[in-house]
Amino acid sequence: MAIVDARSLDDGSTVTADICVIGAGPAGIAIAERFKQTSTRVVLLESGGLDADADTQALAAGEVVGRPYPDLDSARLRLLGGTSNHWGGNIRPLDPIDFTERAWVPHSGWPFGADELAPYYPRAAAFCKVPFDAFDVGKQTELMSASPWDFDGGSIRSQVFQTVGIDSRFFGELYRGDLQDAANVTTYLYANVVDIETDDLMARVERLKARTLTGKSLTVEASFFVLATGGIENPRLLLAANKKQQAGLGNANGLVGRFFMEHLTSPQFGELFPADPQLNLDFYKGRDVNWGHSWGILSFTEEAQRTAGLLNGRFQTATVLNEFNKHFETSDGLKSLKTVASAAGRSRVPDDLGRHVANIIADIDDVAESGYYRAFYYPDYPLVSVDMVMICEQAPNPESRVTLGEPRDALGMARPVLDWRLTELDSQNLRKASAELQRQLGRSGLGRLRIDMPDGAFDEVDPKPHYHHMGTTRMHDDPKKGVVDANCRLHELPNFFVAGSSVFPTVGNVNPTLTIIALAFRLADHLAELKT
Amino acid sequence: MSRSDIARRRFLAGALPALAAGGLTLWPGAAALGRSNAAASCGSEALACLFRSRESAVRLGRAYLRQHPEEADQAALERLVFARLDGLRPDTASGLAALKRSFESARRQDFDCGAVVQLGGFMLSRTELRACALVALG
Repeated sequence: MAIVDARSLDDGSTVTADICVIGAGPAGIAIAERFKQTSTRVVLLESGGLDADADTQALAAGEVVGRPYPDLDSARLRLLGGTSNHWGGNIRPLDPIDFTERAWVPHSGWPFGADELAPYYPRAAAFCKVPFDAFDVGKQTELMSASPWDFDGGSIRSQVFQTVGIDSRFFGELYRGDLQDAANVTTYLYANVVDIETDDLMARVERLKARTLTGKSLTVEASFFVLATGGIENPRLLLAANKKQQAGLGNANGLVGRFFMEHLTSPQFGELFPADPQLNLDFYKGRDVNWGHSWGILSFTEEAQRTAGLLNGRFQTATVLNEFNKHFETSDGLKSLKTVASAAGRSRVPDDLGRHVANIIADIDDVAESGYYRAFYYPDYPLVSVDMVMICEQAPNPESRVTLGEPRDALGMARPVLDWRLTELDSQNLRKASAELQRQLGRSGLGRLRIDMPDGAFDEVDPKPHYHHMGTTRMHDDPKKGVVDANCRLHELPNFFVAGSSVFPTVGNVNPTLTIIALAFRLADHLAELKT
Repeated sequence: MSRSDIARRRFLAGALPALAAGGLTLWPGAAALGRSNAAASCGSEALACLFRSRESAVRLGRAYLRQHPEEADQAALERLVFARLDGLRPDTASGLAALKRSFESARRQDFDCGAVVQLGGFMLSRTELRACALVALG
């Protein structure tokens, strides 16, 4: 029907729908897209507007305890499109092993296997305007005119990632026209959900209460509700819906907010010294394509993960040092330029920006002489070394969690508290994985990897977070082990569902967005079945 | 990581061309030997032919011997290294190509069976480090 500014509604308005989706990020928009131009009436509630708004964004603030983490109001965005508005755009499906129960990974295992999501991944890729066959290694080999490295039957394999193009990455902009034109979908902007109300028996959710920062209130009644506000806001809203049940909604077993997971990257990892100075990096560096950028990674085969008891991790090539740029290695200015450029490429602001700017200014001669591109990507010179980055799944940990704090936001809602914690398994895995990569590179004759991270791994350094908030309303068939069931439905309420990476029981080594969208389409299909 | 650790790691990275960047590439003086398929005259000299940079091999060998001083015995090291080289012997005529093949095979086996040494952040095959040590002692 329209995109409506909830601030323009009469105070106390009530709207009704078949399905109410809370949150217009990747999951919420995917569900709305699934139902557009059908007979299903959908209401989509978004906290923000079409553009960023400081007062609305301030609602996302919270407290960080435990491991250091970026400010919560910088890690998530409240406007149409949600956090896709600062998304780096990297996508790839989870691996089949990610869905399985692994004896060496406590709390692992999804309620279904990879086959269940197989039909939805191509739809999710299409939603991102990426052809699904682009993930095929053969296709990448053809596209790059370069083969993956030959590990000669070893435990390392090559896989393909895609980076969604800048024109297709911000889903609020990309799908705004569809939301505007869909006769059966109404999107309410500046509508902040402040309560989720059940019937007296607590058998089903009857309505939501939303408020604007201008003081208007809105009630939404629907047959089905989908909570799709991200891995921190999802548990926050469930925990805050505590008028009838003190522990919050769906939290009879105390699991809401637990198992917060991130992807883990050691600030330093390793440097590959290739045996062949002309080692071809093209498969991994990739190239720009019509839909964005296509590039390769290395990861352990599933058999190797089983044999060595490894968590799923991936390795990426980063800065290349060659005979041309190797003398720039000692320039702090160039190092800072690299850090700033790398962060900007991911639409991020690096930590300690002021220091980096100072370094760049102090070493401006080096910076000017080299130019970023020439310094770090100048081709055709013999290789000296290649920085390797490892990105790994975090082992599920019930003590890593989101809770509610005492401070309140402008709407009177309790602020979230993030207590991010790792286990010894995460550090052990980093050490084991680095040794195994060293071994594989050595045996294959590709080169030697110097490990630069401290021996204590995450006991000595804090991992670099990726703004991936996962696991806090985990999926499990057993209500004692999960908040939602295999259909993403709250175990305790038959008409209330959760979408997004908060339902991931484990997170694999890949960025979560493609799986978030695939799961959203699957949930939407399930809701369509329920409705009929 | 201490300053001395960092210095040591940089030093070894500089020496790595002997193995990683130039492993099993003939050093210039060995080219004629390779072409004529001449016999290696002694263990360390034959092994030195395998490395692009003799100087780098010596550096790595010395680093290894600092970690394993008990192996600083040329005859014992020669026995240990050549025992891994498909029956090739330092005092018999072995073509350089055969030596190179055997050495590559031994190195790979080392990585497969865990006969590796951590040195300055690198994982290196024990056989190749012993070969470097022999060159250093020679």
